[in-house]
This record gives sequence, structure tokens and C-alpha cells, in this order.
Amino acid sequence: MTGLLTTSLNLGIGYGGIYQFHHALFYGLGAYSTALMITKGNMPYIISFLSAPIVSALASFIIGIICIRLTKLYFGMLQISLGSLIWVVVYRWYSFTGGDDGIHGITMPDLISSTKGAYYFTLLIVGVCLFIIRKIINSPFGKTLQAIRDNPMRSLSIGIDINMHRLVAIVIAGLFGGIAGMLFVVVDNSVFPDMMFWTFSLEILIMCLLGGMYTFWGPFVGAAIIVLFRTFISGYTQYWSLLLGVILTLVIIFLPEGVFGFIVKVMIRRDRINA
Amino acid sequence: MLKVQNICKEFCGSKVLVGANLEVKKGEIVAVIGPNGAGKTTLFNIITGHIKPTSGKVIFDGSDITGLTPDRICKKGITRSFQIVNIFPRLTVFENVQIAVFSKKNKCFSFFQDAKDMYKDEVEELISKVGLLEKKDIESDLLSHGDQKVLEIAIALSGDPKLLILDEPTAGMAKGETERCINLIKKLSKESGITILFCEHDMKLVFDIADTIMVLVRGKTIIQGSVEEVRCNQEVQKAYLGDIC
Repeated sequence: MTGLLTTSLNLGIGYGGIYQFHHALFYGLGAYSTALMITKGNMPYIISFLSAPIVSALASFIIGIICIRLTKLYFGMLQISLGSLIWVVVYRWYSFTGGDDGIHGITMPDLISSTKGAYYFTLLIVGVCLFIIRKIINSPFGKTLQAIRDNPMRSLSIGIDINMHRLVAIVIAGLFGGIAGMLFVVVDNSVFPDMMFWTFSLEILIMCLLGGMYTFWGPFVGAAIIVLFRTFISGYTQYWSLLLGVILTLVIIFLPEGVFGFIVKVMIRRDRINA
Repeated sequence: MLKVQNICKEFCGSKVLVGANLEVKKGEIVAVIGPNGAGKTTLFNIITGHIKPTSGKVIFDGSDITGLTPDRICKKGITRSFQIVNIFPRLTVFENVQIAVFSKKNKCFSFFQDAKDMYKDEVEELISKVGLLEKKDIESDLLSHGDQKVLEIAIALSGDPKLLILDEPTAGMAKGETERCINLIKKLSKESGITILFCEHDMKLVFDIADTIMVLVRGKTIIQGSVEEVRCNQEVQKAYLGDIC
């Protein structure tokens, strides 16, 4: 689930070169829309689930239109500010969103209410989404996106509307981020505003960096490493994030392509030697 | 085909262009020459929409294209190469050209087709036209400078242009590479009938391949005419050629 979240972020940042600094926002929005549809709207589950990607995609479209005129860091900063605005609304609006308590005890349909059911449901959805994302990356659209990342000026000169492409990439990333948020509700049966706080955005950004931004599986690996880390090390010490910081620094210095990027590089080198 | 009328451009008070005029007819090879800092690249950037002029007009195929964005102008049939190598360094030679073909075919928003072998024949034909076929799977970052400049031309060609603009195509090339590049330009003009506008420092090359020459000095067009006319124009001699003539 976190893997899907980071992979969707990587579509923007790794393949699109877009400084998507507040990706957690779309994750949170997806989760909240599902949760609210079920608890407040009494909607059927299928509609509640579907609402997550729609709401997230819509939000990323609106925020995207505002931010797209800026580039690089400025884009990221504005996105963080707009995202924080939404976060404050969610955080304060007790009567609707439950404020800082969030919403708990959301009932799920019988089939996926058990841990096992939720697990397989998540696995299935994540699998399908990853397949689609991979397909998109290998399509002409994905290739064009990578070209824009490498050289926006040249892309413009061969007739590519770069802002339009970036916007579409952001919307797709937001859409899959929303699906990841929906899955969180399925697994955890709850939502809380910290899910869309900007520090969490930072965390998933770190996962991308750690795993390797320019590879497809890198962010997924990065997410797995951090989640495992948190689960196991935090059992021994509450300072697990200190250890993580040290490891991350070492990775950035010695493995600039990330853990998975490094593995890929080694494999390519070995292939060449064998050939 | 292309008419540039009285273009002026100021950058923060410094006047780079103060009245550039240019006419390109279909099928011609037109060269723009001028001393360093005359405004050649700025003029090209204005034609292709990378910079907006302070005043003046650019007319292409009868319609006013002044101030359109580069991607629109490209779609109208003007593509270009750059003076300083400007390619997609992380992509292979094949992919570099393929992206431009996607753009031409309006396939950039196709999400689920597998891009790998799309338009393979077309892309390979373009690459072989400029003589890079055996290097097509190399990351373009690793090519020699001369090959990268040629790849630039291939990218520009993929847009199937009516007018091809080359900004110093042989800048920084070794002697043999320059020759190869000249032959390529000649071949393109003759066989594919593409109209070419280029600027260049190498006088020999200019006199060798251009049909007409426009001379730009300190942002102003002095003359546009045939090779002979330009060679014998006194003002040009004074401003630029020194005593070659």
C-alpha cells in the first residue's frame, strides 16, 4: 500500500521531474473521501471506494492548474502551502471530519473485513495499479514525460506541450495516491489528519530517494525498507528515525541511484562482463 | 515562405536587434552571417518562439506567428537545432528521435500502447539519413560532440519540417565532421526539398552551400542577396569580411 503510494509519487518526481512535494495530501484525501462516504454518506461501498481516486485526481487537477506555471522548487513550495490549507480545514472541522481525532471504526464489507480479506484485497488492487502504472511509463506518454524531465526546452522545440503533460502526470499520480489512501481505510478502518500532513509527504519522498527514483521498482523497495525498519527497530529503540537518518545519508553519498538503482547497475555491469 | 519584418529586441535596455529583416523562399538554403554578438541566435530564437520580440513581425506561410509558443510554431512546420548541443542525454539515439516522431504524430497522450518498437522503421530511416544507424542504441550522452550535433539535426528532421533552422550546425566540429555535416545539409536540401535557414561562422561553408545570404551587423540587416552580391557589397566588406574578398 505504501509501495503503491511511493510508486505513484515516483511517476511525477522520478519520471516527470516534477517537484511533487505534497503527495501525502492526495493519499489523505483519498482516505477521507472513502471514510466520509461510508460513515456520513451511507453510500454503497463500491461508490465509496471509487470516490477516492476521483476526489484525489480532481484535487490534484485543481492544485496542478494553480501550481503548474511555476517550476521546480517554487512548484513544490506552493503545493505544500495549498496542501497545508486543506490539512487545516480537515484538522479543524470537527463536526465533519472528526478533527484531529480522525474517524475510527469504519465498517467494511464482510468479504474484506477480516485481516486476511483486507490483505488479499490490497494485494490485488496494488498489483493491478502497479501493472497500469508500468504500462503508462512504457507508453509514448511515459517516454515523452521522461524526455520533458531531461530537457524541457528541447521538448518544447519539438512541439510538445510540456505544461499539459506535467498536469496530466500530476493528475495520474494523484489518482493512484488516492487509491492508496482508500486501501489504508480498508486495512486500518480509520483515518486521521496526520496522513496528509506535509511531514508524511517528506517521508514518502525519502522512500523514493532511498529506493532509487529512476527505476520502476526502486520506490517500492524504498517503501518496504522504511516500513520494515519502523516495525522492527522501533521495537528496540524509540530513536529509530535517527538510525534511518544515518543510513539515508550514507545511501545518498555512496548510492546516489538508490538501493534498487544500485542493484540494477551492478546487474548491468555483470551482464557486460559476461557478454 | 518566411518573412521577418523589422524585428527589434531589447534585453534590459541593451538593444540586441534594431531592425532585422529576412526573407526565405521555398526550397532555398539561406545563411545568416555576422560577427559575434550580432544577434543571429536571438533572431532564430524569436522566429521559433523562444523569445518574444519587442517589435516587428514574423510571418510564415502567410500567417502571423509572432510570439506564439515554441511548441505551436513547431506544429506549424518550423523545427530547429541548437548552437549548443540540446538533446535528451539520458535517452538512446533511437529514443531521442522517437520522441520527436511521437510529437509529430500526436501520440504523446497515448497511455497504454507499448512505446518500445513504435514507428521503428520511420525512426531508423531518419537515423540512417544522418548516418548514425549503427549507434542507435547508445545513450546519446556518450556520443562524440560531432555525433550529438548530427543527432540534433535528426531530431529536428523528425518533425517533418517545411523549414529547418540550424543554429551553427558545425560549431565545435572536427574537420572531417564538418565536411560530413555540409554534405548532409546539401543532401537534405536536394533530395528532400527542405527549406533550410542556418547561421554559421565558417565563411567557406556559407559561400559553398547558401543560395542567399543575409548579413546581420550589430542587430541590423545590412543586405540580403546572392553570394556574389554579398561578397562585393562594400559595407559588408568593411564590417565583416576584412580582406578576404
